[in-house]
Amino acid sequence: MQSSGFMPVVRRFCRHRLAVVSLFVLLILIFMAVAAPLIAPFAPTKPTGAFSKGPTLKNILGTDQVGRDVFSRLLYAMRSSLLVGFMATVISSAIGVVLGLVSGYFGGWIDKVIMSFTDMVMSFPYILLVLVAAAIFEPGLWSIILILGFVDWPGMARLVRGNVLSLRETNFVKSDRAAGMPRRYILFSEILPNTIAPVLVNATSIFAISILDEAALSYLGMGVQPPTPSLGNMLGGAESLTILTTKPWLWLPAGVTIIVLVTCINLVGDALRDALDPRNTLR
Amino acid sequence: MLKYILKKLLLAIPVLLGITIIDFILMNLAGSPIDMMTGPKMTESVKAMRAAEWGLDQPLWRQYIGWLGEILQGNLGYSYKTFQPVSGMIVSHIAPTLLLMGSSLLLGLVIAVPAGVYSAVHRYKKRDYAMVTTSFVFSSVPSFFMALLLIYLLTVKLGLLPSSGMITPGTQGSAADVLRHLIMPMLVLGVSMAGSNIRYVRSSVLEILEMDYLRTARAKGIGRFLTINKHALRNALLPIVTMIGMQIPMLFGGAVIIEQVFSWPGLGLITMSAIMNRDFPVIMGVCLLSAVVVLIANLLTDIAYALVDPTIKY
Amino acid sequence: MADMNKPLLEVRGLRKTYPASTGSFFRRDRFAAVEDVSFTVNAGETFGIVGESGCGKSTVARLIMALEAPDSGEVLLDGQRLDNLSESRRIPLRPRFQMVFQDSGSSLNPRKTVSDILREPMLHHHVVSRKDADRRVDELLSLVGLPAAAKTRYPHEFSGGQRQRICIARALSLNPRLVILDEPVSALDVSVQAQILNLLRDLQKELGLTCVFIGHGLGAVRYVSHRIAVMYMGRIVETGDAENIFSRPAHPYTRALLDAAPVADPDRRGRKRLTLEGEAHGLLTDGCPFRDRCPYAEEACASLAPVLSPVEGDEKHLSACCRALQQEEKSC
Repeated sequence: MQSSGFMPVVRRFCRHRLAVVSLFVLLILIFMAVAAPLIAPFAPTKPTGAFSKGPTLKNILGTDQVGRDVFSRLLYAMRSSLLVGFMATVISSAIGVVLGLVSGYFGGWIDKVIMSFTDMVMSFPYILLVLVAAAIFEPGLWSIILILGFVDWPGMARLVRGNVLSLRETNFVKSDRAAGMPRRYILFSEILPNTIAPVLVNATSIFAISILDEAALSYLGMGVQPPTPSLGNMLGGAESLTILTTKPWLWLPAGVTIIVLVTCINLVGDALRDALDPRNTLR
Repeated sequence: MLKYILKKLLLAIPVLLGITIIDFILMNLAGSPIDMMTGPKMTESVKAMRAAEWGLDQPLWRQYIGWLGEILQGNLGYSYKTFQPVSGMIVSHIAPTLLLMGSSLLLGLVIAVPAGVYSAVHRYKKRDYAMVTTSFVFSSVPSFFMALLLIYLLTVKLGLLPSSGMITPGTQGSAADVLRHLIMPMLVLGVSMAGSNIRYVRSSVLEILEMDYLRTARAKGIGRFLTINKHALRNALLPIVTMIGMQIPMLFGGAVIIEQVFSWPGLGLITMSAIMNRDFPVIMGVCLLSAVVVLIANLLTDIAYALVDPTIKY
Repeated sequence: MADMNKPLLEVRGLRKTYPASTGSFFRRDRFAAVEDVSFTVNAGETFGIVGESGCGKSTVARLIMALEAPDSGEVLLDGQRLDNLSESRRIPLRPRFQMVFQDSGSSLNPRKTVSDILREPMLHHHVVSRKDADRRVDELLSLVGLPAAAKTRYPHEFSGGQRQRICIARALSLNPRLVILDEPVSALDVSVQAQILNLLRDLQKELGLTCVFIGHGLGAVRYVSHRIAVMYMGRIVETGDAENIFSRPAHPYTRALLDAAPVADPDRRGRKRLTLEGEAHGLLTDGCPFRDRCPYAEEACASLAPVLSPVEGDEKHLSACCRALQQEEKSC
């Protein structure tokens, strides 16, 4: 049986203490990113002092090669990375949910067409697709959002389709059909609410993956373009051996931020999976 | 069985065609490779000649049909940049990539299977939580960042391992030399794969541990070790087979980035430069190859499934 | 009480096949889940269908409900064909025939309150006005013996028996002429089964409901049904008044089913029982499908497909057996 109340979910989530901590950290980081203009001591794209100086009281994470404040850039970088992750997740979830719903509910040739398209996108080495796409469009914040959004959906589509297929066979959907309820009612009022939990869990992992992908693409120079900071392009500078060896403040903070961010998202998603799993009752 | 394989192969053909069509369209959206050619000799007339020679002046669908026709005759075309045959480029670069992918896959499994089983057997204990958390951290580290850290640590600080290439320049490259170069890229790919695999193995073993037949086995008083090894692991094999199958496209993608970071002379490296230079025949060749590899991996997964699981009908 | 003699539901020559797992790649074999099933149900009566798992009784239910389309045959409700209508033409008729499923757990959307579950179909079909819907929900709940407080709760907060009551309430909410109950008590505890069966009997009396009651337990089917059909391998092998079927079973399969049930009366325990070997399977293509398990099978059974024919001249009691049951077995 699936439980429906909100409180049991919260209670089950709170059993995962690490996830609660992660959620807390995540919220703080998101707040810092959103409030970057208020928190950041300097503008992210303006030089503030000496070039490539180590951390001082004025620039707590030092300055980069052109004298910009690394801490301020880090805050704004989180902003772009989170934005990319969030928007890519929204887009790909929307595509995946719609295609999955349609495919699963209508079946037949519609299902076959959608699923073979999904297979195609899936059997494509993911990075290759992203790279080719990135080469096409002018690199930048919004094109990376669109690229990731249009590439990340197959997993979601499969998940939703599988869910719809099993829900379609439940007796409550059969009862609806027997009662002559219209299709849109069955799809949106009966099936969709029951797929929200797995969709949510899957969305958290897309969120995490998108942030990682943004970082990789920007690192390769095909993502968010300087001077706009992103966690990926801040790491790009570390390719040079002198920076790597002598100026760790230029690359370590961005790298650590990515790891913390993505780990927290993953842990929250895992706890969410557990909390929303209908088979889990309070032990 | 043969019929089953044949059917799967037939089903793979339209998927393969679809992939190449998407490729082709995407690539052409990127713009003409002619624009990338600059130099004093590149006058308009030379450019037009080049375009005609490569068939770029024709409509897209004819270009595609032409490409497909050549492929069916076993001709992958010639690079726009180096003028070498694409098949030759692929052949000369595929071995390092396969070496890297294979060893990383192996490393990923060697880490993930014992760790996942251990975690499942000790579930809801501190050890389990620690293992799961570690696996999350593993899969949350960007591979290129891990590569940087390793280079920083092992090359710069300790001077133990070379940070780029496959053999030391100026030498013939002994097996030991290649191995020294292989360690870091393999570690990065293997560990980031192990991250998600640990949880995958864990949950499949958990699922099987909860099944009644295992409870029966345990109730019969068969020792714990025997229970896990004989009964659980055999059935957990199935998801592991799937896992390997799913990993192939990810590996291929991961290799592109890692090869870039470590200058590993594999397919990823030529792919990146081909993308940068709009070297269409090379991009198409690599995409085709990777699609074939992925589809074969899928097929092998299906076959392995059919072999391991007696309840699957084919 | 409604007129017992006018047929409300007529089922004629229903047939449904499914693809089998055998056959070639291009042409899958098909097996018949339902083969030439015909019966009528009069207004106000309850028609029971019994048979072991996989005999096709639930398929019959889904075919009547038009949840699946038959390969051939007709379903008529009140003289009107249902099976050949398009779904859009059928929807307005849907409230007239409703169904209760076996598994009450999956019959109710876990994310909706009981009130929503009951209200939404009624509002959609304008059975009640929005204003009266709440009162009607209370009525329905009390009709099936649940407190009005139940309506704000979610399905998982109820026991299996209570959920089945909610399902019955939902089926009744659209004021149907016909209710099909597909093994409504099979998944319940024995003590709860009796409560639900009593509820069904009360509802029959109170509302003059017409029901098709499907079950594999003879006791439950007998308790609520006026007439009974026994199904085996997709076919009706015997049909007649409930009392006749139980007192004078004509088909060996019916006998076996009856004998399989434990008897509470110690004086009757010594009787000779007819037990079956093996399991039903679809391997016998011609002749009597029951012959490989039938203790009375003769050579003729392998070639002659039996048809439903009157037992001892009783036109309402039909049996599909090549040889009438021998007299000497009847005295038990």
